Amino acid sequence: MISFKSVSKLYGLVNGVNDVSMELSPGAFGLLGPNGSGKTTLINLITGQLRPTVGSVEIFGENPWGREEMLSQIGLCPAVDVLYSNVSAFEWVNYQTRLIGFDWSEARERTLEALATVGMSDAMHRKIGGYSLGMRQRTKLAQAIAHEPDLLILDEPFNGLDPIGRQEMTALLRRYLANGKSIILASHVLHEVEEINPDLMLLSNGRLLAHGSPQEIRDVLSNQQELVDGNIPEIARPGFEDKVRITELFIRCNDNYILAKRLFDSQQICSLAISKDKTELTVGTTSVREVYTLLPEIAVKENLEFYEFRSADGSLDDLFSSLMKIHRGES
Amino acid sequence: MPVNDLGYRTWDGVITSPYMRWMTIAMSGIRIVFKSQWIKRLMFLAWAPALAVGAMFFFYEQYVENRDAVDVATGRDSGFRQVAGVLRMFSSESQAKIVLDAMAKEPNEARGYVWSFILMRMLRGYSGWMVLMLVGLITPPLISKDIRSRAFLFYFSKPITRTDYLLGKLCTVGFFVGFVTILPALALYLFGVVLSPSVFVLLSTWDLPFRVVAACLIVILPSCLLGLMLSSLTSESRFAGFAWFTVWILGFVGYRIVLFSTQLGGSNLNIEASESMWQAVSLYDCLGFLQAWIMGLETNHSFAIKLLVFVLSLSAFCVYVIMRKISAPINA
Amino acid sequence: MANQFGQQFENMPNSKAVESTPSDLATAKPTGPQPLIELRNIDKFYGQTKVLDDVSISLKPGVTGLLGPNGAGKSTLIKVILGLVRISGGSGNVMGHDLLSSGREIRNLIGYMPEDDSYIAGMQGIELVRYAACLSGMTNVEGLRRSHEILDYCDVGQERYRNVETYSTGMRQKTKVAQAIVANPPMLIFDEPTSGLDPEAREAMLNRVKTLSVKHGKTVIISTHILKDVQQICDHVIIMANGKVKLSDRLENVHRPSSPNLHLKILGDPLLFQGNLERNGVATLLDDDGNLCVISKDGVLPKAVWTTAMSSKVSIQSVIPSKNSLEAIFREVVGDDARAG
Repeated sequence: MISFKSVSKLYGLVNGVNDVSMELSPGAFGLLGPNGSGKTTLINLITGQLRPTVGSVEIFGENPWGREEMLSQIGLCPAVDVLYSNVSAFEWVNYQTRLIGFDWSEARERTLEALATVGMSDAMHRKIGGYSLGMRQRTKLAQAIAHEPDLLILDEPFNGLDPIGRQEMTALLRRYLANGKSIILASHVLHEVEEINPDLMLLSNGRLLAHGSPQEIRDVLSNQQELVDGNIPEIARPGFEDKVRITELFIRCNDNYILAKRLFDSQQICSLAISKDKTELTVGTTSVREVYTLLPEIAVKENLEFYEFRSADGSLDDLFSSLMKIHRGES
Repeated sequence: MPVNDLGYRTWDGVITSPYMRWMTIAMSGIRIVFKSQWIKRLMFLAWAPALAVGAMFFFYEQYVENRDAVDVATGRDSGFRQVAGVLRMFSSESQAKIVLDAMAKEPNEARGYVWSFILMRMLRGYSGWMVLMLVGLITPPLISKDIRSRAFLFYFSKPITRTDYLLGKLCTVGFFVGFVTILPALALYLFGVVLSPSVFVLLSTWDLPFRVVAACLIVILPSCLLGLMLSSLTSESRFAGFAWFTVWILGFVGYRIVLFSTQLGGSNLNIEASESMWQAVSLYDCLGFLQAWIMGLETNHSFAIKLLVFVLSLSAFCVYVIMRKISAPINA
Repeated sequence: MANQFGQQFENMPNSKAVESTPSDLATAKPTGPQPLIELRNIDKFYGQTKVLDDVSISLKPGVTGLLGPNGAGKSTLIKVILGLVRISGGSGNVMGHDLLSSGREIRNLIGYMPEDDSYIAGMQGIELVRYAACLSGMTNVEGLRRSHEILDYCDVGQERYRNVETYSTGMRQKTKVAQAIVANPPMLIFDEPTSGLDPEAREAMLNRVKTLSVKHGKTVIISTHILKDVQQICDHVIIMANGKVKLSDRLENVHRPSSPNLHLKILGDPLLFQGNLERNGVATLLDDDGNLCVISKDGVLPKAVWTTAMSSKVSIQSVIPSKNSLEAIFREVVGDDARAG
């Protein structure tokens, strides 16, 4: 469906995306990355609004540049606010749908249906200027799905939605997927994206860092998987033995010293530290899963009472920065 | 799951020819110079006087087409007198004489001379100053900034030679100077051809474009090399700039003092008819004479050759000094 | 990965040495591969001063530290290798190219990071690195794309869009590294790479240099006067003083202890302790710093030392195995010359 071959996009001197290659078949995909990592550039390359400086892009087998008719198969819900404030949602979505090429009656029908799906039927005749952020998001989404495109692209769609709105949006996307359509979601928050179980692509500085399922990403986050580099053989490379990350756990229980002793005896730990006031235990380990299985055993056997227990990592930003550190050869 | 290695990776790809590296240096230099607001404004103004000269071409054509009745007494028409007056005002007697003679014979045939003259006037009067200003603005920082920021270590750890460097810098300033001198002159020539009554004018003036380019180059090359030499002698671009303008001003003034004193001494020399080697003191006059000679408006060939030799030796000297200065920081 | 300079290496007798995988490099025996730089009896005069005196070097793959006090001739030697200065005597070749005649080809294969601040005024960081790429032969677009990649690797973020004159020291050092490695040369010369860097940045820089050598098979020369840097990452060491090469060997040979003794630092009466140790059958001596040194055949601290310490009421603060420190060797080697010269 989507094919990128060594695509780079440079805005004058500024980097957009750098040497990205991927082949995507129909399905659900998530684009993850911090701000400035090239997600929006990638989306613009897919919709044909930008032409790559290097490399080739193919959508549905053809170059999207200059092919506006392809946009009838693509629905875009952009991140920026593209709504006019002095028209109503109905008028706006209707106008967009007409631009795709439908006639008056069909456009009207589709508009009403789309607005109903997103839950804007009550407010659709009010001027957009008076809408809340959630209502604007829904309007944009309605415009994107009104013509039932084969490929739906959403750039930060959950931005500004309350938990109920997020749930509804997720349900809508799931239904859309069930109908055999494809979705590309761009975001910088992992848990929003993983609800529709997409194939995840991590972007960093315009380059494709990783490509896998949400579970695999979580595994890397909690350090279950070693980082596999396709170029270097996996035999021990001098200086690279300890490239598996250390995860830290913070524990507060009624007897930190006993817990520390037992954890240490299990030989699954690389570091232990007890805070000055002796209330918090910090455990560093490369095999978190083992520690997770040990803790309940120890807790039961030693009759410990736990007040708090959490892991330090878990955020995507940490993953990005520590991965990049390793890649730069700095650690 | 493939986590791509985003660290360092090797690169192999197309390498450009090693003999084109000077172009990289030139283009990079041009980009840096173009960042300056003043240069952009000068570039914009560069073509304005060309319009005025275009008007002059137009008026001459009008004169040729619409000549008044010939005045029996002097054998000239009234329009001719006006043109003659203008010419005498703006030129040396010898140059004006050549043009006026040709015009008297047959204005149509004189076109070559008149155009030469007008273009020469433009080159001398306006372009000459432009070259002075531009070279004075662009060249001082070209090499002195590199000396200051020790860029030679950067440059010469790459696979380039000193010749690439010099050629690149020369083309950097040459691009801008050529843009304001050669291009307008050639465009005016084309404009003149378009205005004239028949295409046969090309036959009688075919040598003009080449003369124009050569006349521009005779000014551009020595000036740029002189500017680059001054720039390479110091790490402060201000000093190079001062030195540049000083050389021209001192020469200009010095030559006139010499002439004036000889005039006081008794001989009744017209200022530009003097053909002593004192002209070499003033680069302005020296190059001006050579320009006029190339454009066919001066006929003292032996003197011109002497001046040419002087100018070329000066240029060679500048190249020598620059090359030595480029190597010096590395040998330190 | 095909190396762009592959065809040049095919002419070398033992091209395998350079294209070998990292594990080979790590275990390369001293007498194995063909040296990459071979200098024979190089002399260089600046006027009357002899700055390089009969210098002969045989450079092996890996990371080589070029040590020496200021004025030892390190920078001149580097300029000789780069083909930038003309030598007064001697000959050599760099990766198969003759030193005297193939300056441009040699510079094609070497990435140099100068010690001094060296940049082009009026350029942004990204422009500077792209300029370096294009001067080495890359096209404009590919050079720009690759420069972004390399600046990411060198940990230069959005600063790359600012003029180089506004950079901090750390940023300048990173940019200098970037412009040296952007064209993927097989040999790198870093002149004082960690000067002016804070400890964290220094660690990062040294790790980066080591990675380039180990993971990507590049030959690296580090010219520095900081011994700690050399000890941390170098495989070979060359020490220079007064224009002469004083020492050229693998670091582990330099470090090899002359004897497996153990140096003790104690809190208590040293003479009493020494006497008690002798009585209990432990041979000791006093080392150069006046500390107690236990002679041990196998590098293990005899148990008698602990018992004697307890009975003598002496507490042992540290036990350090004997090692020829690079510093001692350096002082010895350079000092000789200072005494003689």
